[in-house]
Amino acid sequence: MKISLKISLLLIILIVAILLAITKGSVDIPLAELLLKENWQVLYLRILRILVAIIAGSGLAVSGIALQAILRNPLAEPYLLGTSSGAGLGAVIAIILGISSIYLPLAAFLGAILSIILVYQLAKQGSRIPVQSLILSGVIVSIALSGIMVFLISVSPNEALHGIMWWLWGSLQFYDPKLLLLVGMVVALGTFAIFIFSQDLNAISIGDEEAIHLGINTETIKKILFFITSLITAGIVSICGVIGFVGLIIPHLTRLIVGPNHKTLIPASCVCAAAFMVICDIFSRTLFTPLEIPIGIITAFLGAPVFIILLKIKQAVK
Amino acid sequence: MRKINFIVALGTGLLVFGVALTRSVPAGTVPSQAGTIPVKPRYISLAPATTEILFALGLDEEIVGVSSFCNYPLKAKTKEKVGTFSQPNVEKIISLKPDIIFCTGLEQTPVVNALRQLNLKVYVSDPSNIKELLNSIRDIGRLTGREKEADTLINKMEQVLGQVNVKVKLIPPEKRLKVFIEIWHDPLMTVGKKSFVDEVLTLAGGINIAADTLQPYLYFSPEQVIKRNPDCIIQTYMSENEPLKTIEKRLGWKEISAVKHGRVYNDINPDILLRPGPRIVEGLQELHKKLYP
Repeated sequence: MKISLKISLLLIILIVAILLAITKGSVDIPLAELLLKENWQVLYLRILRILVAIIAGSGLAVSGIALQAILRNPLAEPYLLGTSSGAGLGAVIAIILGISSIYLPLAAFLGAILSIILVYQLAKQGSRIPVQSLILSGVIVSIALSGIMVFLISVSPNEALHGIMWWLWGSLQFYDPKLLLLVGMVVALGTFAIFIFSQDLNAISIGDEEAIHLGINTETIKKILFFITSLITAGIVSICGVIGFVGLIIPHLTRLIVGPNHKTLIPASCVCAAAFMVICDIFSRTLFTPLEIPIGIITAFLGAPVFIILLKIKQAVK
Repeated sequence: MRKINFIVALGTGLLVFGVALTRSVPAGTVPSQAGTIPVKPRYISLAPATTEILFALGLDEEIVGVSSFCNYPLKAKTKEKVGTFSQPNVEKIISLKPDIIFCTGLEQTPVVNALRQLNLKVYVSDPSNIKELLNSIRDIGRLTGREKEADTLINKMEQVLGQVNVKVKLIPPEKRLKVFIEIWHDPLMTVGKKSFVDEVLTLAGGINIAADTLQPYLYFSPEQVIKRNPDCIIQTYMSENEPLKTIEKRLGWKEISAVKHGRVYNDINPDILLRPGPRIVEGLQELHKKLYP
């Protein structure tokens, strides 16, 4: 099958998923009635959620791709380098200070950015950032910040902290359109920037030396991409918490479908991740209404089998 | 390559269009019809305590949705469920078109923020003592146009408070019992000075052995319980086992005064003791009777 056909197929899946997500929800309203003025708020709510799903999904998937390439590690994912624990710590501090109602996303974002700077400084050796030390310092910062976070939760008398679990599990419930627009722009620009580097990513994923021989300044590109992916992840974490699995599995899944060329891989996985998240969210909202299942659980439940099936098919073809 | 560029452009365009769409539909544009046609107001209650208050004020048909934790009065169970206590379903809430949503603080803070962002009217009742609870009942009465009923309810509650207070005053300070309130056994949890239950216990004439702690609810070391030697242990959760038998098995607890004298109780309905609602005075009465029979 031609790649353009495959991508159009993914696009069709995405559009069908979006239409389904608009019509399905915890309240059963026929589509015709949903468009009536009195049901606008429900419609508005569903559209907002779909947008959050698309933004979070595609941002995480593209960050995952870039990190897997520059770290040359198939297990790399957007949260590997400490962003999520930094954001979590920021959120906990905002709740303890009692400013969570307005400043929680900002605090989470600042926490994420600070943790990224910390990771970068720890990993730096002279003017280079070796891949190994980047991963190691990411993991260490991540563990240390989670430790501080759990410590604060356990000693703080603030009961609102019980709500932090809800946030740490990942949620697409986010109803601030202005902030969503902002994060959406960060994700769109970041994704586009990563897409511009797709040729360089192709070279780097083969090997540092090969890339240098091809005339690519790997160190600079690594640094730029590290910051872009961190920005995207920080933005997403600050509005919907930690949604696992998408940034790890969707890049691999899309690679199985369209191949490893980043020029096609990046746009394809954007579409794939968006469709995947929208579908996961439909399950999360409708399986046990009115109860909502954390989106991270659905992504794992749904993503793992799909991935295994595709992998087996691919192996059988070979 | 051009195709991919086109797809990316299309995707970005869709995204921008989508965002623009959401911005052009500001929340709360749906006009409230309450002004034009005389319809009954619609209330949703997300906390068991506020549900009890609403029913106690004589509201019933006006309550269109409750959380799945709302179990009292029995009628509450027949109401539409809008999700659990900590995770109410926002879409469900909106579709019920409530005029006011009553809820509590703590775990519901994120939900309260979300509902307010959607321009819904939310009243948070989060009393940390009985005085605040009475104020909260007065507020809810005012918001729902049931001031009279609220006043009657408050008077009734104050009467009970007064009755218990008269009895407690007769107990000399040295005869007051040291009490350990066991919220949960694994991990061992109790209540501190800033909790509602601590106040109820004090009003009932007991002394909370964990009153020197800052947190309202906290993990408590079993060693501390042994050291502080309570005269009475109140378990605030239902358990099928005989409370005394299970507690005796705990290492070192046999020597505690409460265990020696068999004063371990778990038969006070936790809903009337832990819930900051109208029935808290019943909880107070029962607790007082348990401590000073």
